[in-house]
Amino acid sequence: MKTNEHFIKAYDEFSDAIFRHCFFKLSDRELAKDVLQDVFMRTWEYMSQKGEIKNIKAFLYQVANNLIIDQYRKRKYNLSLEEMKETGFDVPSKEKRDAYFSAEVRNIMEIIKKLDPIYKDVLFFRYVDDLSPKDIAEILNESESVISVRLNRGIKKIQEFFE
Amino acid sequence: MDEILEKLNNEAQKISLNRDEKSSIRNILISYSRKSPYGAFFSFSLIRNKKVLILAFVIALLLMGGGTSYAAQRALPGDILYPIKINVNEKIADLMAVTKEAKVKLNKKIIKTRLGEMDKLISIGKFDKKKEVKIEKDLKNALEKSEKRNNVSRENNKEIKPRKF
Repeated sequence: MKTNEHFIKAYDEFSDAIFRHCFFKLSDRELAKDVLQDVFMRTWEYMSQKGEIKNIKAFLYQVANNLIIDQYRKRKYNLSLEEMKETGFDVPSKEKRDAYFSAEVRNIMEIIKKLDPIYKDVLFFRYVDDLSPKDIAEILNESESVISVRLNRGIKKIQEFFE
Repeated sequence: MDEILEKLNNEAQKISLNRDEKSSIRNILISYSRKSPYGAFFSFSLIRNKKVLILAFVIALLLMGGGTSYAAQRALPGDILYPIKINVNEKIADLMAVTKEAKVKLNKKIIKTRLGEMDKLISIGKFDKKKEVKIEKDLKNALEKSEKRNNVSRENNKEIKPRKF
């Protein structure tokens, strides 16, 4: 199979998953689509120079996370919503993530958001992205056992919120 | 606890691209992968007849004024101002990009703009064969320029390394 056929096959297989990941992290459907497109463009640039990627799924999540971090950084330097309203700037309407979920799920997401990043990230990968501990280990460059420990501890931390 | 996490998992899995979104991005990526083999996006070259181009752009700017040029930035293939966007604005931007890095960045931006225009035309239902040919031609021009710049760019090109997070 040619490199670009591999590339398009990867898009067909993982685009929804990467989009979901971006959407959850960015809470903006349109922005998530832009980032998704950028993830695959950058992946293609890498593939066209370096050839096939051994674990393209992990690679896509890594690129997606890097681009999401870039988006967070950009937001930091942007005007706040209030400032934009005051100055009359037309704020584009965003399709909010929360509108898609039940109250119960919104509540658990809020709790996960408050956890330490080492637990928050693995719980997010496991329950939102539906990734196995093995996949998560590859994305985070950690061992599978470390990921399993973090998952268990993360779940215990969530339980503490309910007690 | 397992139940609520399972519920989170189930609800999350319902989030996906719709069919149009998926196929629109897919088309853009197919076009991108066909047009940018082997790092063409990171390449640059020198404009041979730079003096002639500068002169032409200065005259064009004087004739048209900045307002037209600004309005042309949002033009799509088929619009009256689209040729100004391609032949004036983008060429001026190319001349203004002095450093190698700036030229590489601009080149990438122009190609992305072409792909974005195609996406926009598809989304508003105005994408036809004539416009496809026009965008294909403009993309080809941009990529040929990139190809000529290829050798120098590879030395400067940074490898994309995923950051650890």
